[in-house]
Amino acid sequence: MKLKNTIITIALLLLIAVIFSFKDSGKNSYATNYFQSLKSLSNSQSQLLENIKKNDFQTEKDLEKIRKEILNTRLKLKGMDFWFRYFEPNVYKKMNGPLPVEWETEVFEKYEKPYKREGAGLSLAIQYIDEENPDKDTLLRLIQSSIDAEQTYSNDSITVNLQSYHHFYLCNRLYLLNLAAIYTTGFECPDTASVIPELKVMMTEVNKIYKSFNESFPDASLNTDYLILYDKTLDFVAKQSSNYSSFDHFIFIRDYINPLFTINRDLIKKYRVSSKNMLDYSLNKEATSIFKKNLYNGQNSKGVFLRMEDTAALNELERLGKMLFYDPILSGNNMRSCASCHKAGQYFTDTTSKTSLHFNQKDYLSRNTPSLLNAEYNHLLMIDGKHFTLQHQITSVVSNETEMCSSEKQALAKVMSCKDYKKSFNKLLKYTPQESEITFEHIASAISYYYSRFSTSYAPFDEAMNKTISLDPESIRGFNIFMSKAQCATCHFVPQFNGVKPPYVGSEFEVLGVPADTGFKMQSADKGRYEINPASQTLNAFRTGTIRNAAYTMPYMHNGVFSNLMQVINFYNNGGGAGKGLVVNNQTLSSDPLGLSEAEKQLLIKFIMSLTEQVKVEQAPKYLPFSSDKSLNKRISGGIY
Amino acid sequence: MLVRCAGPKKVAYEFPTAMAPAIQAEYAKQCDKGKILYDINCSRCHTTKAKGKEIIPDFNALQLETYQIRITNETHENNLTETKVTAEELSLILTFLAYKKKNEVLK
Ligand code: HEC
Ligand code: HEC
Ligand code: HEC
Repeated sequence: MKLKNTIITIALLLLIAVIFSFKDSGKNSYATNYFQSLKSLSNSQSQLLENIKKNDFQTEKDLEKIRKEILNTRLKLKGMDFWFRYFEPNVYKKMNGPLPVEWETEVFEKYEKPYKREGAGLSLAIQYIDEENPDKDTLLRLIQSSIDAEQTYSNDSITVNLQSYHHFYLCNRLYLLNLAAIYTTGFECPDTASVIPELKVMMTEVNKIYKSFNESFPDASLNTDYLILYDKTLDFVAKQSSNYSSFDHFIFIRDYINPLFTINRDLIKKYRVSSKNMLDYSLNKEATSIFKKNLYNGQNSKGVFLRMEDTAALNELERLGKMLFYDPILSGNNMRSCASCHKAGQYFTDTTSKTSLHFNQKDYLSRNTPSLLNAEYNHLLMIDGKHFTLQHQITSVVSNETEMCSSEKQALAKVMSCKDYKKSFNKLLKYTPQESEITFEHIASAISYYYSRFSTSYAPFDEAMNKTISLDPESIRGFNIFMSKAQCATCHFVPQFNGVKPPYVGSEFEVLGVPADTGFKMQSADKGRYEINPASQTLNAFRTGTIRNAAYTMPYMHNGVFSNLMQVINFYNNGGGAGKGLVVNNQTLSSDPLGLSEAEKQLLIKFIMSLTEQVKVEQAPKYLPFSSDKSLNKRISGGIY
Repeated sequence: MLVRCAGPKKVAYEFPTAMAPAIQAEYAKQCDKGKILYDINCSRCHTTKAKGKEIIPDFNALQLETYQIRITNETHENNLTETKVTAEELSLILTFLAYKKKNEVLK
């Protein structure tokens, strides 16, 4: 009897112990996975460092050996990319930075001066070893720096995140966005032959992360829909070619990544996931597809009227904005309006000349007029990123001597001399209680609100990605070339196709070596970003603009040097300015030719055509509000030049 | 130096004595705007009201980190998004909170 009891007790205890140990391992398996992967990466990096030290760097064979090892270590790194990139993106640049030096101003810090980030790590190491006579110390430094950076990821401030599920869904969102935007393009992978093999390893590793997460967080787990689709995605990728130029980027995103994004988004809502990370700052939890315009917040087009929700008031704001957009009263001589250069019928740019007419009616401006469509999806405005906000941009153009040549004060006074404007704005004043009277900010906000309404349309490409229409096979092939061989997508990122990449908190600037004229005798003299942030890397660097609607926004580049898309593509195909023999310091575009065939170039153009949005064209207002100053009443809607 | 400001309940500001009067006046203007924006965006959660009196909390400098404030806690993450309050507005609010007189009960 006693024995029996003891046995039962022991059995029970054992059972409890077993249950607990299961529970325990379940609880920890996610964090354990993290720490084990970190350890394995750490060992691999240290080993790499030792082997480089021991290597003679004499023969091609020596180098090849190191090369292989770097690539292998990179695979370990890719396995942790899911976490690293989200937890500490700046530290990650020391491990996998695509460039030795980058200048940044992030969305939440844009009122501060741009700061310098030095890149290092395995991505640069692989690039470096392919250079002529690579030197050992440089290579060691790049690796050592990655080893130092890696320590950060075992800090408590980071690992504490692993104790709850919140960060996981946000890491995963970023991961999915990057699967659509950069992981298949060679963005951080200079060795293009490794792009897809690395992708395969990374996606498999992430599957392990998913499994361990679900064990540890059964109450906030990834659902079966997600897991099944992810398995199918792995199957799809496994069957795809290892050559990124034959990889079907279109199907990958449309049938797999975007639907996964949608499920992940639903789970973010369901589990009420909350963020403690600045990287989520711009992203919008409401966006159900990567190809919806509300994916990230972009610029505040409503300006001071930010919190105005009332439809009637918004309609009134739009009406005022429209009149002001066409009203030359904003210019010094009452002869020019925004529409003088940003023409509604021409996708809100000026397709008739390289650069628009100067205020003096004789000269031409030095820069091409960009389209206003999707301007709000830029983090910094203007080709050199001079302005932070749309309203600031308007204040500046109105007082610019070469453009509208008025002043904030003068323009405000003239606008308020018109009864309609005055009465209507005063009615809207109640929406901005912090302001005691109408200011130029109110006027600027009405204008930016008006033209931004035109950026809400979609292109056939978006609709195809959202599966509401199907896209012709040529545009799809063009997209696949864009994402791979032509390297376009390493700068023009999915889905806006501008230089704003996930998580959409900064604009990129690039040096292409754009020529002064099509004879390629010299580089354009425009210093670009250097004007705003002088540094050797920013000289002749320009903001990567969107190629949405580019089929109709000719001429192209900051100086309007190219008049058709074929010229632009040929420029890239030849390796930019440097590829054409111009002396370009620090060109960030590869100067190697792309080797695109004529047929491939045509397909690229086809794809760009599929990015043409169905923008509605409005007529200019017939009449403009009367002013109490009679001399102003002769002004003509839209201006005269 | 104390400056009175406009608004439903008057708040006093405290500027460092070393600050030139013209600059104080400039800051006072910003604080006035900041107060109104605070009332719109923050007071419903932060101002303690009792018997017609109001207390606006005294945050310390560390808590008034402009960029961090949007995500310091879950409630903020959902309520202080870019679509609800702009960076410029936040900085006015934080200026107001930094210079408002401490330990004050508004009547
Ligand atoms: C004289 C021609 C001209 C007029 C008039 C003009 N613009 Fe522009 N606009 C330009 C040029 C040129 C640029 C690019 C300048 C640069 O990047 O330095 C530009 C840039 C912009 C941008 C930035 C776009 C981007 O992609 O960053 C916006 C927004 C804009 N203009 C809006 C307006 C508005 C609103 C008005 C009327 C208040 C206006 N513009 C009047 C020529 C003009
Ligand atoms: C290294 C980064 C980089 C790569 C790669 C790149 N672009 Fe660009 N692209 C830019 C930048 C930066 C600009 C703006 C240049 C300027 O204003 O001078 C630009 C401008 C353009 C424009 C003109 C936009 C306008 O409205 O003026 C088009 C069209 C374009 N790129 C298409 C492509 C295509 C197609 C490819 C691939 C063949 C490609 N780009 C590859 C960075 C890049
Ligand atoms: C919807 C409610 C809500 C709104 C609106 C709100 N807060 Fe908060 N705030 C909170 C909560 C909840 C806390 C955490 C309180 C605690 O931990 O005691 C908090 C904490 C803070 C803290 C302390 C942060 C820290 O580091 O401990 C500051 C400062 C703050 N809020 C400022 C603001 C400002 C400024 C605004 C307006 C721009 C604002 N809050 C709007 C709910 C809100």
